[in-house]
Amino acid sequence: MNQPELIVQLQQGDEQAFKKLVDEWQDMVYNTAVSIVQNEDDADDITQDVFVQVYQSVSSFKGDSKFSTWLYRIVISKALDHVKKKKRKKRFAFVQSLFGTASEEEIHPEEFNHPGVLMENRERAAELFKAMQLLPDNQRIAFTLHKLEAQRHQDIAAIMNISVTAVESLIARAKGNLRKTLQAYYTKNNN
Amino acid sequence: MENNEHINKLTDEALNSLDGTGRATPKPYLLTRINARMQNEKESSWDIALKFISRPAVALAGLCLVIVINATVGYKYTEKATVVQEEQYATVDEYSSSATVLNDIENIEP
Repeated sequence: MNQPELIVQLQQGDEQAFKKLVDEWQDMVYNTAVSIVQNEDDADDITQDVFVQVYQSVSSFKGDSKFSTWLYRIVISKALDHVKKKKRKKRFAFVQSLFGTASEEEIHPEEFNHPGVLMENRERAAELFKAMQLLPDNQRIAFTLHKLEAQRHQDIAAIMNISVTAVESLIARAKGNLRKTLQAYYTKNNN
Repeated sequence: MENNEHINKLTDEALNSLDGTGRATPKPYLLTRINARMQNEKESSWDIALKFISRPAVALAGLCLVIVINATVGYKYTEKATVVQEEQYATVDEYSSSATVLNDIENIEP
């Protein structure tokens, strides 16, 4: 079954087609989500949410863009919403901490280790992920899709609905900002 | 100088630490969990409706709507009743006057 056929069957509510879709795209959805939210349980929740939304709104997919582009947009939007919610929660936890009612985990979340990172790179990657949290959303998304999803600049441009030049600029700025953050971190911790 | 080089080396290593990273995979039985979530959403649609109705703002708006409808119907009914009453008075006047006339005719004194 090719992709357009699969979409048509999904639009007709075929459960086998939905099963096939989940099998085919679950790694991509989960990996993108976990790379953005940097928490495996949250990423699992987002992955479920994404597929529920796909099932409910696949009829609105007109085929103007690639299916993968549409799917990436849903994942990114849900993941960024989640990050924003978490930031709000963190600010609230900080206020609570002033009154001594917030838990330690809410204020200082645990270090994130991406499950796909090579063992020898784990420590460095954890610092990089921490630095990625400080990037503006668009730089973070472009960098994540490029580094962790190995997407080409053209595909990132289609997903983010911007030009290829803009994607290149975002990635370059993201690398520059990450370098600054990491240098500051290593300078502080090296002395 | 040496320290700077060391920091740059660490920074480069961190920046390149994602090279060769594989895709993370979700926990097993994802489809089962998705189906369970969809089932829960279906079951809870009544709960959502009840929650919506029981919101103070919605409940208050509903109460206001009932009062407005009640008042409108009451006002319209009173207006209609006044018109009918006026018509009734007019009819009574008409009949009473004619009755008087008839009475006058019937009670003609010899």
